[in-house]
Amino acid sequence: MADYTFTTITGQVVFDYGLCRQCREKPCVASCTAGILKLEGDGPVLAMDAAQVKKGKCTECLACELECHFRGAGGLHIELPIPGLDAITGVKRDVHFN
Amino acid sequence: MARLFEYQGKELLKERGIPVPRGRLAGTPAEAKGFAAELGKPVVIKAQAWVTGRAEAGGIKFADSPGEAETWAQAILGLQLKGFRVEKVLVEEKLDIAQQFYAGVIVSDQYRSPVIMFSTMGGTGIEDIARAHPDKVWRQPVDIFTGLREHEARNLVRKAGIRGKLQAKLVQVLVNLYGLARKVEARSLEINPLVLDTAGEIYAADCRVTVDDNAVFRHPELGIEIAREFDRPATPLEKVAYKAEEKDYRGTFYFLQLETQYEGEDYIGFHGGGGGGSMMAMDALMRAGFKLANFCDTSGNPSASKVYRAAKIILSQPKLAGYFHSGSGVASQEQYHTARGMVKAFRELKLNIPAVIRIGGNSEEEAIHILMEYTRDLPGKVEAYGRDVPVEYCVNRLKELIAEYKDRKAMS
Repeated sequence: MADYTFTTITGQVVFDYGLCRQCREKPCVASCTAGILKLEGDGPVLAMDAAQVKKGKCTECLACELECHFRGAGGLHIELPIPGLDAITGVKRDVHFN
Repeated sequence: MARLFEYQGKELLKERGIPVPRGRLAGTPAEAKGFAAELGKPVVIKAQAWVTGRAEAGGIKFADSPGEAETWAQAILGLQLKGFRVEKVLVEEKLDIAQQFYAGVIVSDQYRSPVIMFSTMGGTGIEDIARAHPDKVWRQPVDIFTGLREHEARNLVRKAGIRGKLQAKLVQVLVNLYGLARKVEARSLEINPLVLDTAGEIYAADCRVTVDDNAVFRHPELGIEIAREFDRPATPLEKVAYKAEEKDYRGTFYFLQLETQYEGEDYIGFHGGGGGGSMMAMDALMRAGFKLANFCDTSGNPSASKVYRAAKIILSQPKLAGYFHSGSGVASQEQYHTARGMVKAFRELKLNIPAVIRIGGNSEEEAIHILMEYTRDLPGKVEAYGRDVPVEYCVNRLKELIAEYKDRKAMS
């Protein structure tokens, strides 16, 4: 479920706040060395202008997703499309992290 | 460097005022016959392929009649020239050759500038000419700000002992050639042979154009689909990989399929990090008896997202027995970016083949931790090593893991 999303240079970060509410540590915010995330209530949100983030403030280091899934509740997913790949492999792959 | 076909290069030369033989591009034997009839004289049928030595491989034939042109086109179309399947032939009027020259522009690392070259020994490769007849090849570095001036071109041609009208014609060719090379940002643009026919006219009988990969985006008019040096058309997967790289300037991602017709097993999905380290690792894999499905290099400080896409594309190839990554050993970039990119790909694909990652450089301990810890639950075992572990050891581990994996599979 996409409760909050923002766009990066080549992809999109999607939050499921239902899961984020179950997360106590919020490691996504702590792991973001670029400092683009902050907490607003129980949900992580952008700490800066979305246009700046799309332009490159988010470096797509993938740390937030990794930490979310191993130390958090798995509410964050990063979509990095590869246009045309599914058509070649003939398989619509499950692109979820877990 | 991205290449153009001969017919594309000749269109550019013609636009720039350099004469080329009359001709048309044919995709079928019937078209070749029709074009030969239109020309109304003996023709040459030329395979359009990015390979050298076309004549020796049967890709260039002469025909005295339209019927013969059709026969030769039939023979050439579909031919495999060094792995390149011929889809088009150029049907051109046959020239009555009196003399053959060579004219070329290259961007020279040695001179750190464009260099115009001219030889009276055209027809064979310039390297061969320069080796066999160094006294017959003349070079002139060109000032990038002024371009090639007429008097410079004249001096070059004069050195070959050519005077009069022929000198004037050749000078025009050289000046126009240089102008074209700069316009399309060519790394090299060669006319070989540049023919003087028996009527005293000059024609570019063959040409070869390579364009700087990094300049291709400025030249949509050239119709270059992939800014990479291929000696065959790109595979669908290579096109997908290029699209992932095309507009993302953070680091580089090169991907080349070495195999598409798989024979047997033990193909490895290869992922290098830096050209030199990649070569070393590929050699080690081949020495161990593995076959490489692909070459891939993500380097120059790529983002984790770029590494992720590379890993996913590599793993989309069929019949892989294992995945192997090796970098240069002491990469200056933070290695955890590479590690996170791989982990994301491995997890999304639920990696079910062994993977060995040799990941030396800054923060390699953290990278190794990420790779080992965050993949423990996957069906395919992932092992990661740092700079102190030789590549041969890593290849050996991959071999052992693949053997274990096969044994387990056989028992289940």
